[in-house]
Amino acid sequence: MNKYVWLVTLITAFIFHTTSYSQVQLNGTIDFEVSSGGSDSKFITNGINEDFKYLHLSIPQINLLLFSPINDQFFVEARLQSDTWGTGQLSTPRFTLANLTWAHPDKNYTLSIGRFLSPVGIYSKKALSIDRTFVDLPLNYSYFTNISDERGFWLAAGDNANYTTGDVGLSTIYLGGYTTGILLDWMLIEDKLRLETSLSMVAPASDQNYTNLANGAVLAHLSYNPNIYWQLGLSASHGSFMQLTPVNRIHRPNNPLEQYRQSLVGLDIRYAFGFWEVQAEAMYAYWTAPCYRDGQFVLYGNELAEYRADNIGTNLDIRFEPPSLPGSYIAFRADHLNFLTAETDSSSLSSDWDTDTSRLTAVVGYKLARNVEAKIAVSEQTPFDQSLYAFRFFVTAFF
Amino acid sequence: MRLLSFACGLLFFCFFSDLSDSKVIAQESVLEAAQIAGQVTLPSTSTSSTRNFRGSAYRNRGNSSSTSQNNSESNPYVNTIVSVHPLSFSIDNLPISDSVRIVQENAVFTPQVTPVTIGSTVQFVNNDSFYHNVFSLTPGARFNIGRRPTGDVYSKEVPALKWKVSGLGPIDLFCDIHTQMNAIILSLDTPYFTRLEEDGTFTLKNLQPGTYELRVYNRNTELFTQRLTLEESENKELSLTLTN
Repeated sequence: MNKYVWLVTLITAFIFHTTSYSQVQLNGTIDFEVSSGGSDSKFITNGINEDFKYLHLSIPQINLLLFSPINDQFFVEARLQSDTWGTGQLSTPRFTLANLTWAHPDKNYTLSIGRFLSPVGIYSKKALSIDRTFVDLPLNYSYFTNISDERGFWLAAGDNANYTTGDVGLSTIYLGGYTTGILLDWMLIEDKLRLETSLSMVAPASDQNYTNLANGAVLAHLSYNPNIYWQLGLSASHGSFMQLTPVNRIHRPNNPLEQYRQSLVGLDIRYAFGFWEVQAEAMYAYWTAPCYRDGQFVLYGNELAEYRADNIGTNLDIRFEPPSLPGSYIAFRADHLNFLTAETDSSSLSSDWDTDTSRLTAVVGYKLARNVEAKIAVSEQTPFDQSLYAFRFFVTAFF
Repeated sequence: MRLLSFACGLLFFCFFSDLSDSKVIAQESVLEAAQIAGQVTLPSTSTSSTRNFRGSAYRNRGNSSSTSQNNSESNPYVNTIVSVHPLSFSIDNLPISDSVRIVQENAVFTPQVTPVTIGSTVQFVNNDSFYHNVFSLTPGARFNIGRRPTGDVYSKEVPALKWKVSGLGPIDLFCDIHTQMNAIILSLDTPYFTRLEEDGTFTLKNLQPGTYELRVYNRNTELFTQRLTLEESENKELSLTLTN
C-alpha cells in the first residue's frame, strides 16, 4: 500500500511541479520480444523463464522516464518500470531510478542522491535496451550465483524458485544496474579522466533499493581516455549485501549480518574505430558469507560459519556496422564466468561452488527509425548441448 | 591593306558591340531584379532553450529538437530558413556548393539546419576530442559515416568528410554515439534561400520577376508557405508569423 501512496504522491508532485514551475519531460521505452529457449531454460541462467521456453511473444519491459529541471543547477530524474524479469507477466510498475541531481553548469562534478545508475560495471550504464548492442547482459550481470542475500553461501540457490518469487541467489552485479545512495560524478580532466563514486546502501550484487541492516558500500569507477580510440576503466567496490529476513532473523542476535561483504575489482576496455567497436570487461568478486546447507545455517556454537568464495567473469564484445547497410550492425560476444575457490576456516571446499559457464552470443540489429531498433539474437552456453540456448527477436522503441 | 583594315575594323566593331550588348543585359538584369525583405515571428515555445545536464541518465536521448540543445545557436531564428521556389519559370543550372560544412563541436551539430542546393557537397567535421558519428535514416539518403576521430589531436589525420546530398527535402542527421545530437540538411531545388538573422529578419536579393512559392522552414513549427508574384525591381516587404 505504501508503494502506491508513494507513487501517487510523486506523480502528484510532478504534476504540481509542472504547472507551477517548469517542465517535466516525459519519455518512455517499450520492448517486444519473440523468444524461445532450450529445455533447461531458466531466467537466472539463460534469461528465459522455464515456463516460457517455447516460442512466444511478450512485452518484456515498458518504462516511463521522467526528467524535470528545477533550475539550471538541479534536476529530478525517475524511471517507472514494469518488466517480466523472472516471470512471464509484467510486474507492478515500480520506480527503479529516482534521484535529485545537482549539476552546476560551471562545475566539473555533479552530485546525486537517491537511486541512480551504478558506477560499477560498464554495462550498468546501459540500462535501457535501446542503448545496448545485445539483448541480454553478460554473465557477470545475468547469471545468478550460489550466494544469496538471505542465506549466504548456498549451493542449492536457484533450484527451487524463480527470480522475484523466491531466493535464487545474486548475480555478481545487479542486472538492473542501479544502486541507492549518494553519487559523485567528477570529470577530473575534461574528456580524459572521470571518476564516479558512490556511497551506497548495499554492495553492487544486491537488487534491493533499501536495507534493513546497517549495511553500506563504496562503489567507484575510474575511466581514462588516453586518446580518442581507447577507453580504459577500473571498477572497484566493497560493501555488505545481506538482508534481514525470516530465514536468518533467528541468528541475528549473535551475528552481525553486516559483516558479510562483497568486494569487486573490474577492468574494462573499449577500442573503437570507423565501423568497428571492441569492448571487454573482466570482473573479480570476492565474497564472505554465512553458509546455508540442508535447510539450516552452518554454525560454530552460536556463531555463523563464515565462508569465503570468489569468482571471475570476463566478456568480449565485437561490433561491426556494415557501411553499405546504414542502421545495421552485427555483433558477437564471448562470455565466461569462472568460479574459483570456496573455503572456511576449517576446510577448503571444492572449487566448483557453482557451474563454470561460457556463453556465445550473436546478434544482428537494424534501426527501423532513429529510436526504433530490431534485433535478432541467438546464444548458446555451457553445456553447449542446446539445453540452454536462447533465441530472441527483439524490437525496442524509445518515445 | 584596305581589306585588312576593314577586317580589323569589323572585328573591333563586333567586339565592342558584344560588350555593349552585355552591359545592356547586365544593366537590364540589375534593373529587373526584385527582392524580398521581411520579418519572421516564431511562436514563443520555439524560442525557449534549456541546458543539457551532465549526469542525466536518459534525458539526452529524449532530446529531439533544437529547443533542448545547449549551444551558441540556441536562438531558433538562425535555424530558420526562408526560400523562394519559382513557379512561373524553371532553373536549368542549379548552382552547386562544394564546401558547406557541418561541424560537430561540444556534442552539438553546428549549424543545426543547413540549406544547400540539390547536388551540393556537405562536409562533416568533428571538432571534438571524442568520437562522433553521423548517420541518416531518411529514405533516399540513408548513410552512416562511422566513428570519426577529429579533435585537437587527430585533426590533421582525418580529412573533412564529404557527402553528396541528393533528393529533396529535409535529411535528418544523428550521431549514434551522442543520441541527443541531431541536425537537418535541407536539400533545395532553388538557389534563392537564406538563413534568418538573430532578430528574425531576412532579405532575398536578385530575384527574377515571376511567381514563386515562399517557404519558411523551422523544424519546430509547421512549414509556412505563401505564393507571391514579383514585378520588375519590386522590393516586397513581408511580415510572417509561424505557428506550431
